[in-house]
Amino acid sequence: MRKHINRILTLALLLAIAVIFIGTMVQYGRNYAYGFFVSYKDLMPRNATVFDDISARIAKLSENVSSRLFLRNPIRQLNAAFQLATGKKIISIAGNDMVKLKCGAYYGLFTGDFTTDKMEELASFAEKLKAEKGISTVFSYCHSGLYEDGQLPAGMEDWDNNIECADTLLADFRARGVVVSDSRDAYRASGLTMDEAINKSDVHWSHKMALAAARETARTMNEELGLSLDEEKLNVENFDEIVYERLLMGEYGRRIGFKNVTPDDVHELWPKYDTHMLYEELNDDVRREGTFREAVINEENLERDPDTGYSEKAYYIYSTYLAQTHIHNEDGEPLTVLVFKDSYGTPLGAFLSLTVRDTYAVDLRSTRLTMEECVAKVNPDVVIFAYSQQTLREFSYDIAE
Amino acid sequence: MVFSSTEFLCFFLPIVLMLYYLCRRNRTLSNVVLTVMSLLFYAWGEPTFVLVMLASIFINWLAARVIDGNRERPRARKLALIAGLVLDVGMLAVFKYLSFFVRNLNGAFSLNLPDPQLALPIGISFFTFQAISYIVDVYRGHGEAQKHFLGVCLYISFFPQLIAGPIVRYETVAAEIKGRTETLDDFTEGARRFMVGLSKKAILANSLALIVDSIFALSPEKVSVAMSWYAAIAYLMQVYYDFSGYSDMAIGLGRMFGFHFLENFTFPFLSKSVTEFWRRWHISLCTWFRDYVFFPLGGSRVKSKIRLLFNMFVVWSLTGLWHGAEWTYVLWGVGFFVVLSIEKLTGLGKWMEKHAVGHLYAMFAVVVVTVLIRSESVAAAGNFYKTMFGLSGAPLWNPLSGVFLREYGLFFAAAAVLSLPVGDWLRKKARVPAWLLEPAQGALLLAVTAVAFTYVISGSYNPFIYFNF
Repeated sequence: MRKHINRILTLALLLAIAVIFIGTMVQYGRNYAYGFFVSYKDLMPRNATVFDDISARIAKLSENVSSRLFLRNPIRQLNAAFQLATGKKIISIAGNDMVKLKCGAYYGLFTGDFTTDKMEELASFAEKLKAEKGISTVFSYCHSGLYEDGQLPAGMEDWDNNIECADTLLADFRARGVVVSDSRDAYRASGLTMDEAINKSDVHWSHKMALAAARETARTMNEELGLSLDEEKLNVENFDEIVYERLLMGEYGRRIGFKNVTPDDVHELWPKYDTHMLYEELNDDVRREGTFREAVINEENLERDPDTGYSEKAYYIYSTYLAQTHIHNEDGEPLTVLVFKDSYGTPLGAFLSLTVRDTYAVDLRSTRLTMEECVAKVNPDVVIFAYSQQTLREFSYDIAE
Repeated sequence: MVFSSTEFLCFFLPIVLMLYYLCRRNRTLSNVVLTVMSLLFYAWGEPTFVLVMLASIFINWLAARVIDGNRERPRARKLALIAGLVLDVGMLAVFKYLSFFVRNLNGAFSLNLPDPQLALPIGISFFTFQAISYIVDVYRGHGEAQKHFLGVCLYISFFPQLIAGPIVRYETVAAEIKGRTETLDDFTEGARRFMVGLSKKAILANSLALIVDSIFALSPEKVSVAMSWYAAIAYLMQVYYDFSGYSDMAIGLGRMFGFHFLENFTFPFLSKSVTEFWRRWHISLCTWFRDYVFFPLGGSRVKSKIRLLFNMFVVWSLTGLWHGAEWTYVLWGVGFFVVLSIEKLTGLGKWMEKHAVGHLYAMFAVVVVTVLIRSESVAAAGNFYKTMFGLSGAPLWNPLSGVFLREYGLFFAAAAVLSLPVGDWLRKKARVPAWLLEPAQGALLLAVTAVAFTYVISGSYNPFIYFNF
């Protein structure tokens, strides 16, 4: 009998593997081939050896496997359902331990060790910029998830160290003389609720919260650097908006499925006042000119997927995290600002461009340049680090060669 | 690449199976396929280390050829063996222990020697021990030397056992490298074994790892006494499920390609003494040390107890060092030496094996000693022991203990139960008939493999605990 059972088990195993393998090749074979034969070069260091070449191709394949896999989301949702069925409140998927906050949003716990090493590197870089080039810097901290106490399930406050890490990092930044803008101050000043500030299905903050953080950053720049940016240009009351209900299904939502979380509403915000902007992506062939809404906002990302009825990209209407952008605003203060940012800092940088003449924004994941080389290229008056805690904890970028 | 990854399960495995069975009838070609795919498997982590492994294979192939070709010249044979051993151990010493040695030298004598900080080739301890097994077995006449480089290359680099064992002795597979028969029954039995191993690793080991890694990462004031014991026991079970899961997958994969590896674990948590525990745990390593180190030193048939203790000390210190180049690993080995010596010299081990309390004793001893290899340093281990034994002022229980128990308690309990031979008990003691038990086990395995599959595809937490090994 065992022989027959073994055959059935083997058949089931091979069938499952074959479905994923063939399905993935049919659906994403081109992406895999492109990664293996073309775009792997993005991952190669300068003066690469043959081993770097092989490593880069392998890394690209691994990257594709983790992001492009047939039936990945339905399988993840099955896994989440299993975990919930065992009575767990923490759903561990794709390197995140997610819990549901009291406000209904899913939140990735911060539980590992943290160091201030990266903060120290950034602070040293800021000191160097000031001493050698007279360039001022601002650290615009993009807090994630916990804007109020008492949101975590019982007992987990002692485990999650998001607040502890944020307080430590910002205190150390300030102690090193770096000007800090804390989005938690922006939250308190804005009158937003948790529901409005963060997404339920996505790790990122809402666009309203990003706008509030941009305003707080401008206020800090005026106060600490003696600039005269027009903060009122970033007052939400001076913005028009369209609310796209249940549009954004973020990464967390796609992992755990509709049964557990509904898609988020997306607020498209643009100034009521007249604007004329030039938007260009320096690492792509994109150039748009017109009002802020016409030039900066990419409304294509607001389109719903006909199969699922939601958008996975709606957070990125103010540009994607991988785009290196330049926004020229003739009506802004005559300043050039360089924003080093992650996905949180992307909309923040876009909103900030309403107050200054030239805003460059770079995510170091999209370039092989170091921060120092970017500064040399742009020659800014002010450098802003717009980073979330995730980035500071996992920072792997080169500041200088 | 690890077995419990999407890359392996959904891409590497189907490709290697297809290629292998396409050229199964030509033994040389099928061995070439397995060797090339094994090198690719190894290169996935760090391509440059393929050169290190190939160098090791070449040295041992050459040494064995010299040994085999000089049957009438014992001196030349011995010289070739010694040269091979020196190069094998030398390579291991450079990559794994040089940095440790330099750091300790600097610390002890206030020197400032540069730390080479060489990256550790994954699985170097495993493939070096297999290489040593190859030349020693050829020297002892326990297997014929492979004439072709390809045969040795396949023996040492064969991907199922390459990065996490079991340590396959050359004499076990020497004949199968040249000629083996793949059957449907072997293939399906191997696939079943692979499914068991995958489920152990993806569901139990990785869930236990979440408990362990989370609690060990907490600052000491947040850890209660209960949590420290929970983490210590969970760690022992994590290592068991991780390691035995890998062994199951390796044995299963080997069988799918017509190889038959020996068992590596036989329900170690049934043990009633630490001596018995080591007869059931990581058998391939224990027997390796027994046959290649302990016996050549004289084993237990020595005249004095001092000499016996010395032999045991050497073996257990080396066992500790083999696991990792840190003092925590050395102390772990020495810890087991102390316990095993007491058992042997006082008869405690034999007494415990006759009494039920032996289970508690053995598990207590193993859990306590094993904390050493999970700790970042000896000092950290000391602090953890203080918490475990209530000497640090930590509370017995705190709200966070409840979180861990609620979140992972079910997995912890399942891991504890399934570490015992439940199937055998049902068959022999509860007398559940085979017609009921076999399909029930099959259905359960199918279900848990499906769950394991969702864990793998989901990219869940999947630590690789053999980096130090």
